[in-house]
Amino acid sequence: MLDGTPEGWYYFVLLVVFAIMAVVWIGFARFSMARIERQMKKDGVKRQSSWDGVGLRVLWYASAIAFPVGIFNQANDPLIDVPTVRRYSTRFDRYLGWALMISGLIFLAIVLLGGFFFNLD
Amino acid sequence: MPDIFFAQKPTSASALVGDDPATLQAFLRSNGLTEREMIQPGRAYSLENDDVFTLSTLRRLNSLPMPERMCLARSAETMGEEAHILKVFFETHLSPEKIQEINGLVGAGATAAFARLNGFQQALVKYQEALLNLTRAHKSGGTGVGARRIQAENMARSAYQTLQKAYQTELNRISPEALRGKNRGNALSNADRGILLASRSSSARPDARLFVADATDAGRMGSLSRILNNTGRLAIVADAGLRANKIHATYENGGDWLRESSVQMTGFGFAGAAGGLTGKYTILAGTALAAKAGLLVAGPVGWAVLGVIVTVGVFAGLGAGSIADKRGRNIAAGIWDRS
Repeated sequence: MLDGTPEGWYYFVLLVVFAIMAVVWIGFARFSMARIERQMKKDGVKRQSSWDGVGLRVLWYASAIAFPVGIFNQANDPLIDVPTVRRYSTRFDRYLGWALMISGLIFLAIVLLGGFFFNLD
Repeated sequence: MPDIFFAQKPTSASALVGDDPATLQAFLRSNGLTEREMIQPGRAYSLENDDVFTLSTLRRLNSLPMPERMCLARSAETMGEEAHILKVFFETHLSPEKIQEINGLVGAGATAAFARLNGFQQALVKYQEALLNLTRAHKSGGTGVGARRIQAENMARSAYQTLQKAYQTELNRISPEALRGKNRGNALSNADRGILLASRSSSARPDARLFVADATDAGRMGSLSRILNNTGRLAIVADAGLRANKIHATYENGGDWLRESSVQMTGFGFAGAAGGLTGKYTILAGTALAAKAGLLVAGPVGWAVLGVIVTVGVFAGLGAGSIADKRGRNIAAGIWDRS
């Protein structure tokens, strides 16, 4: 992989970006999301994301907390109760949420667009 | 009922029944034919001469327009006896008037159902508001609080009465009838239960069982969540299964299965992350567009729109997932081969 070819560099960069995103993902899920869900359960607010079987509700939490309420962050989103979740989040959660969204976007961009610029099989 | 035949090609009466004069005369009489007449293709005839209904049946059949008669003939050919039963069914249940009626009902029913569901949700919201109001009245103090509490209680009762009178069926669906008279269940069992829960609620937040309007949203979420849950789990199981199969096949063939296993696992992780992210971003963009077009209103229409957006997101995620899977596998292969 580190053999100096453009493809090798691409894969190296991709691996680094993935590692960063993975760390942020787990950090957010473990610290922010678990804490928020625990607090909501203690206060008796109904569990929001009963639809999540595979664990992807992390992304919904992150976008609900990070993005300002507006057209990209609907207040009446049926999949997650945005105002309630925002009330429980702290500034640290917001930073982590932003980090997850941005690193995820970069990861996606590199994965999907790599095929255009490099000679990958 | 007499056995009816349909002529396939032009024949004469004598060719069908022979030259015996008596039989020929009987045949001609019961079929309403004259002696020299040729039986045209598609004409119905019967060989039973003693049945009294033969002539009237044949007359009825032969008065049908030609295409219908041919269709009937073909059905008789293919279906034999059952054609009769099918005909009766069609006439009773699917005649053109009936079909128009059904279409009309479906159209009217859809808009009516939507309006009714909306009305039901609104009535629920009113009841929930009344109960929360009662909670607040019980917590507050000061002068005139007794009158306020009684007023709030009356409002809750009348809101529940609206629910019971106008939306009895929907109410019975989300709150079992058996709890109507008892002090059990959530605020939807009966007004007294709701009032009791509201006045008893002592913590900072009102009792969760008071949030009846939100509970119904969860009910509607039920089917969506079941679909998403099961699809997600099935997809993961299928994907993992296929990968495990590949690893096992490599092992069976004596190949480097450890390498294959690490390659497949990395691909799995990449695909999962990329699939989820793509799905989320697609849904984000889709919802934004839909909101701009004013499509996302609370209620069944909004749900349908959201369903389409989510499905598109899922498909986009699948595509991205497969690409990411390839990249992940290449990375793992590269690392493995180096060391």
